[in-house]
Amino acid sequence: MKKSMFGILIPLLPVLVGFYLPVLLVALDDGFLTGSGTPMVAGDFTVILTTVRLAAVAAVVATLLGWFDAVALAGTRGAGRRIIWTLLLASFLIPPAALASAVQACLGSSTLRATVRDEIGAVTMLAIRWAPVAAAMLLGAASLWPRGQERALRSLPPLLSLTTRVRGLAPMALRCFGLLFLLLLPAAELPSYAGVETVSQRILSRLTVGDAAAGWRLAAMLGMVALPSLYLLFPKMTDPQQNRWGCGVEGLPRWKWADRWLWFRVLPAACLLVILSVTSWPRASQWSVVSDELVGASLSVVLEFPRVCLASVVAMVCGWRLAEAGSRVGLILLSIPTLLPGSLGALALIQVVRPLLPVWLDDVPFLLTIAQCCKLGALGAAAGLVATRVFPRSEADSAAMIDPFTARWKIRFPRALGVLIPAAVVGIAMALGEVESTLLLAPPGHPSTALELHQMLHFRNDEQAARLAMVLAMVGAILATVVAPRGGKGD
Amino acid sequence: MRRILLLISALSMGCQSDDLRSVTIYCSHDRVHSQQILQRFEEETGIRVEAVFDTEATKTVGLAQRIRGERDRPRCDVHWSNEPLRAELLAREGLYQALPDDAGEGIDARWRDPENLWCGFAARARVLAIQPGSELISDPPRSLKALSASQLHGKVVIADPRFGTTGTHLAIVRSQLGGEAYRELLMSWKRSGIQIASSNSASRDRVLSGEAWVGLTDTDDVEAVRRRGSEIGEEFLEDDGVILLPNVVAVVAGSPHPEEAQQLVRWLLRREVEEWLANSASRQIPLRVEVPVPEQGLSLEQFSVQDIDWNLSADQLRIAVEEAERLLLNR
Repeated sequence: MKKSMFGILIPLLPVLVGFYLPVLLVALDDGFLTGSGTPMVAGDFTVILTTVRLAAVAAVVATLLGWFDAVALAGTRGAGRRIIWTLLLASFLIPPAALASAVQACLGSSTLRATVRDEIGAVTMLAIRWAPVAAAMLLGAASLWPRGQERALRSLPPLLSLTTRVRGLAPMALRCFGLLFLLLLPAAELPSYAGVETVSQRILSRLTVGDAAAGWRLAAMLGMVALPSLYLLFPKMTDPQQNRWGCGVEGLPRWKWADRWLWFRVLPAACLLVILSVTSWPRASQWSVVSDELVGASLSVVLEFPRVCLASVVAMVCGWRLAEAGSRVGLILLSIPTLLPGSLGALALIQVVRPLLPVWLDDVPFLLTIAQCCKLGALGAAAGLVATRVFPRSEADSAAMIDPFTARWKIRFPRALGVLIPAAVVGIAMALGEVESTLLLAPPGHPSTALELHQMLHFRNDEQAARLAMVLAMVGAILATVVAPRGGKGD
Repeated sequence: MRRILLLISALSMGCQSDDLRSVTIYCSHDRVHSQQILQRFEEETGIRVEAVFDTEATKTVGLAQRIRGERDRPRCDVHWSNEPLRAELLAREGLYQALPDDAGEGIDARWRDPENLWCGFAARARVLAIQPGSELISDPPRSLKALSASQLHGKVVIADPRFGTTGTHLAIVRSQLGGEAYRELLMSWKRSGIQIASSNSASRDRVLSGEAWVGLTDTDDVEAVRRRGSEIGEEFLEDDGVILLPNVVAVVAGSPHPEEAQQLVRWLLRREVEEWLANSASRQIPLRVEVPVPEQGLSLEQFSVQDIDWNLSADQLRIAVEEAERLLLNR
């Protein structure tokens, strides 16, 4: 086997063993190809169209919001930028169930009121949640402009400088829209709070009544919708661009409208935290129970942290390795598991891989870690792609003069960490809030605050749910502060 | 390299401790109540219970699917389901083994599998939640057909019919009415602008908020908000016959801890457990008439309960759900 082929196969091992092989075997076993189960009807295509429309509109709105955020953060300076960036990221890193908890506590209803229900509500929630991801990507792109270009921008009048930045970020914004569209296709949780059915939900309904073949067919349709976009999203690999990290805040203008926009943008996250705080605040007689709950929930997160950290880090390193090897197909293969509901991959893992593993592994969340690692594939691929583009050509030329292994792991990899670490933090937050594969793969008794939160919400245990949500929100906020220093340009 | 491998395996495994006597239960009854009951079992017997609790089925594939997936090497000992049809399907697939003969004494045969593969206990009733401020409070509907009355146009809500107890309810209805009458019922609902919410609790919440006047849900969902001080009416489907959906307990075939599983099943099917559940905020209905119920509780004798053929209803589940999706959800 060629060395380059080997270099691509190793980072693809988690998804090959943890997704493709089991999914293929289970789908065939369930009669995916033999035509058993309910045939697809017009209603299924309507749901697919609705899902595509929802994902596309939400991705457009999120990209636009993120675009404005990124330009305001990269092109101006002002007070409280780190707090703003932290709150902005927190609105993504806080799991959707925490949002549901706040809505329930505030409006007294587990679904939104009719005025914002249906697709408008779903688009609003998805766009607000995912806009920080667009902002982070575009902010990253803005910080990669060559130093000379950045200096020239700072010498322009503020408004002209900002409009130039907006134009300059347009190609990246298009790519950002593509990525968000793909990431939003499998969304089920937030749309369900708004009463909108997506393909993921229909797939789950097929599986729960034992019509697995129909579920797999719908999943295949979703994959077919996503595949062309995926191919266009990952460009043909070329040599790394000559990029440098941007300058500091010197020379950046102050602009009050940028400040106003950014403070307006962090309102949802701030409101969420305030609502959760008020709801979770205990009465005097409850203090001891509440402190026990908080300690228990915090302990669950602490126990889970190393595992989700591992899942996220593996996904990011695999993504970087594939991008670094210039494998477009590899990146697409790594991303596909993200596009399908987590329950599908988890079920396939239980049926195909688990019986092959030693019994003692049943007591540890080994398969859950693999499933979550696969689910973070698209994030890893995107992070890897960006990380390889920030490597200056002069350093690439120098690295080419030493042996490939040393150049890769001692020169290129450390330089990529600036992108990979924040991406891994986002991955950790996503894995901590994940419930689909946790329900199916976590060993009995394994702690999961996100799962517990869903169970509390179901029973309208608002105060306890709000306290669990607060713990997750705090973790989200802490993770956001880890990433924040790289983001904003504060005073 | 060895150190790295050790570190990776430690991280991926997390912290788990060895156990001497333990039993694993997959439980889809509300965690708040079932956890307390399982803790009592632990205290009484010294057997540690490892529990996996379900979540709302519309967001995940539930624990029944996990039991199916683990068929080749079961990890679960006891399955506590909150409704009988999916348990019946699992029993047919050979995923349950016979319960101990002495388990659940006093529970009538109509709440059991004929081959003793599962046994019901402590039921919930399907109920209509009524908006207290609506015009209906004096003359509420008492049958499923009445939900399509013209004065209720656009004011009735049901949960997503493909999941949970709403799916079970519709399968039972189809088994009793037959396909044609069932489809006619669904179409009459569609014509009357029925609302579909994501879950039973969401249906109840729409009634509470006044968006709907009537919501088809379960008794425990109504009781949960009443105990929090909300005012909400309830009406049983007396004209159709009240549908009771018992909790169901079963031992998984090939259970890794068979002795402990049998012990837990016997314990869960005791009359005291029904009494605790009747007294809890889920206001369950004991299936033994001799079990006392609290003043605000519900007892078996107060309803004209439908006699349900679980086997026949389980046959109808898939088609009932497909038709409900086609006629109510598809645009």
